[in-house]
Amino acid sequence: MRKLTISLLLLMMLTGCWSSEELNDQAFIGVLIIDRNDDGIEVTFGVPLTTNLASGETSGSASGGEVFGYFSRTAPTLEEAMQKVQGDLSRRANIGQNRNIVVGRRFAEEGITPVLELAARNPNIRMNTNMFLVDGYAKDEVAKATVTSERFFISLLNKYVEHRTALQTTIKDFMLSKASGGDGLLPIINFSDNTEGAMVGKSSTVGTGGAAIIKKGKLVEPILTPDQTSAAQSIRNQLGNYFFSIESPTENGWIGLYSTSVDVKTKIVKKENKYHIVIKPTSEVEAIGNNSTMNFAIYEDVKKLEDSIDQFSDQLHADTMHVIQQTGADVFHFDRYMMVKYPQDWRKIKDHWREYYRDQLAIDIDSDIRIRRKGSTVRSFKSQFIEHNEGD
Amino acid sequence: MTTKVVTQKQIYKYFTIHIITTIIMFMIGIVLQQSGYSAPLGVLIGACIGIVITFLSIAFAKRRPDAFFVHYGADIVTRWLHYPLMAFIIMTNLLLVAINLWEIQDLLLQFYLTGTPSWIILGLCGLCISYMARYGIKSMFRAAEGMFYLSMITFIIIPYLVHSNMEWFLARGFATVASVKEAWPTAYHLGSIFGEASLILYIYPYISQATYTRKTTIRFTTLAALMVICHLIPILIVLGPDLAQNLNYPELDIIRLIKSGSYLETLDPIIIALWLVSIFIKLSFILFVISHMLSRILKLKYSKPLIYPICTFIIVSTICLAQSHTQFFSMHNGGVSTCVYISQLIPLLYYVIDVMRKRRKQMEEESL
Amino acid sequence: MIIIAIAYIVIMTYEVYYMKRRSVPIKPYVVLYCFMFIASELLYFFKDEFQLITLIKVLFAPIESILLFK
Repeated sequence: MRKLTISLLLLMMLTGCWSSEELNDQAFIGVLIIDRNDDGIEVTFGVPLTTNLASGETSGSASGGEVFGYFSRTAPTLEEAMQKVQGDLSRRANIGQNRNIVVGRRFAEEGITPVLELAARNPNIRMNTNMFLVDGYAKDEVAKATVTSERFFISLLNKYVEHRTALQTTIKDFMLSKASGGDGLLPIINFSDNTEGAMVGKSSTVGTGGAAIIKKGKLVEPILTPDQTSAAQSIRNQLGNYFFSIESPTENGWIGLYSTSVDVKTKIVKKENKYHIVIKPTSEVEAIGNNSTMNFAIYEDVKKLEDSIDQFSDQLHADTMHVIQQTGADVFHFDRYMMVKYPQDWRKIKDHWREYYRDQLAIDIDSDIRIRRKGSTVRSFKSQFIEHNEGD
Repeated sequence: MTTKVVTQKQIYKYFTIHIITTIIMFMIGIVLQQSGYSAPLGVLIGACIGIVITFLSIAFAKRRPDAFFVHYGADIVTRWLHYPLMAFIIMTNLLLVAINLWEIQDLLLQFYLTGTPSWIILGLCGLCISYMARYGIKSMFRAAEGMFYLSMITFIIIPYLVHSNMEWFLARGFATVASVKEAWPTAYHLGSIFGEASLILYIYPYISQATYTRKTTIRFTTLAALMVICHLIPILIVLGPDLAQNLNYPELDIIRLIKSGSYLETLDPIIIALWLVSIFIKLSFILFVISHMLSRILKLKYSKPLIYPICTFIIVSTICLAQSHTQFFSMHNGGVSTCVYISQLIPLLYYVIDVMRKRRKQMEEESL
Repeated sequence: MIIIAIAYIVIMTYEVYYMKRRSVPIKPYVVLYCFMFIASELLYFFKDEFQLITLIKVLFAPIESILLFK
């Protein structure tokens, strides 16, 4: 009898969860697209359509329909729009797997603060969600783009960040410090039409472009070009592979170079009562093309080439920093360097840091780039095979 | 029964887990809000306060190493003073368990078990805790021995996994920006947690090799302080002081920033599961001490039958503790640490009176 | 409220049964159980009007604000 009561009581342990969550009852959001139109804020959930995925596994997206769906609604505030979108979905939206947020230009101009606040406060949205900007109306551009090199648009975005093709800005990067909070750089996703840009077959595809400067949560002009974006990436220590070319120091023609990684050290020093941020990029590059008659075997010529590469790098970084500094947006959060090294002086400046940054902070760039390898051939094609034959 | 069943190593492992689990999950948000960069300094000062309190308790326990404090306390001060003080200590410890249970249920409900009624979670936690307490003094310390290495590995691995997100230049701030004035609130609150090791006084007859207890105290306090600092420093360096001050649970945010592979990115449920076992061990020990004291005060022979009702009472107190999140967190600045300090320093009163009485007796004997 | 009552009755039955088997005097324990039961029910009944935290705050907040130099 006692054993019977005990085993019946033990049966109560087989009940399982109180509030279970079925996988098939949830729609996992892949990308969150936010933009502003005349009626308010438009929120779009980009959701992989699992029912089409399952049936269309072997034959791709041609049979069965689209594999990615975009559901959007407009409302005066972000949260109301999200509630309206949920009303369209047949499953409960789960934002926990989301890694990317794409904002449109008009929304960025009027302030991305609502998104930052939502992402920081909501425990389900991760703080290292990547953010991107679309120079136009985000939902239309994303929804009509054909993604051909990857299965989904979100895999494309994830791979851009993973392979350091695009600048990586996360939600956390906007909140690193109080004095420069809300300042950052948003990488731009380009959607090319048929005239230029990437093309696979006949459809136009997605690509990376420059970057947009955000000051206090709002977009400010100008927009950085792709070269300047690469310089910004290198200041953030995120630059991977980079192709560039330099005028040859000895003859006319250019030399093509390739760097696999750029290592950047930043620090702050005080010289004659003025603060200087010193940025030192170092890298080892390979020569991949020599379209001049320069001879890599001559040490002095190689030294001259290295000096002109240093100059090129200094110039590019200085131009980029100049453009960014003029807007007054401290996108790299240099105030943290000052706060830890000179706390007493920081306390006096911190209330008007952005003005100080724009007018009085000096930024010095000191590049040190070496040529590591010169490739497989000894002399350039031009000098070995073309210029060699004179009078022809 | 005063058989010496608890070894020094078990005490070392148990109290390390006891201190670390409370601080790392609950107190880090508050510590960073109040102190920012001075938090590691506050931890060190709090550890010193904790060591001082524990040494006082041990010195008092050493005077009568084979008797229980609740028995001979009535001889030192009068019964009329002893029983109310013991009642106060019991109520404070009950409150400690209730507060910890409330925080557990809040954390689980908010992130992992949304939709579950809170009394179910509390009932299940209470069942686990009372089971372990019912088995006797040996069970908690054996469990702590088992969990120790696993917990340590988990706590050590987190700073290592987030090292790619760290910006090392911010570490300079620990030397330049930190100040004792900012660190004092942290030191005050954490001192009460480090001082919970003074519960050794109530189980002193069970401890074997009791002369080494002081050394063990220094060792576990140092290890606990080191582990907490090893957690604070990465949080401050990865998130920066301004962002870390704004988050309620910076620990969970750190875990979500782990980049190495998509499996490890959702590591937080595993950490929560391991940490939950450790905190059950802590709560069952306090429950055991409460029931032990209560049974000795009422001159009952067995303390086991009291454990289930006390646990049910604690669960009801937890439900009635606070109505909302805000009200609960206003308590942290509203006096819990002072309450705990007073209950930990009550044996000091006994110590002083005991020393005075002995001296008076010696003087009387000499004059005779 | 009913759940608390059921829990206490189950616990009391269980403990009293085992104490009788080992011939342990049950009277002091039963008194203690009844006391705790009444205290729990009172606490639960008045949980909206009276929270335990107000008790702590009233008693200890003044001391703490002095010690923390606020």
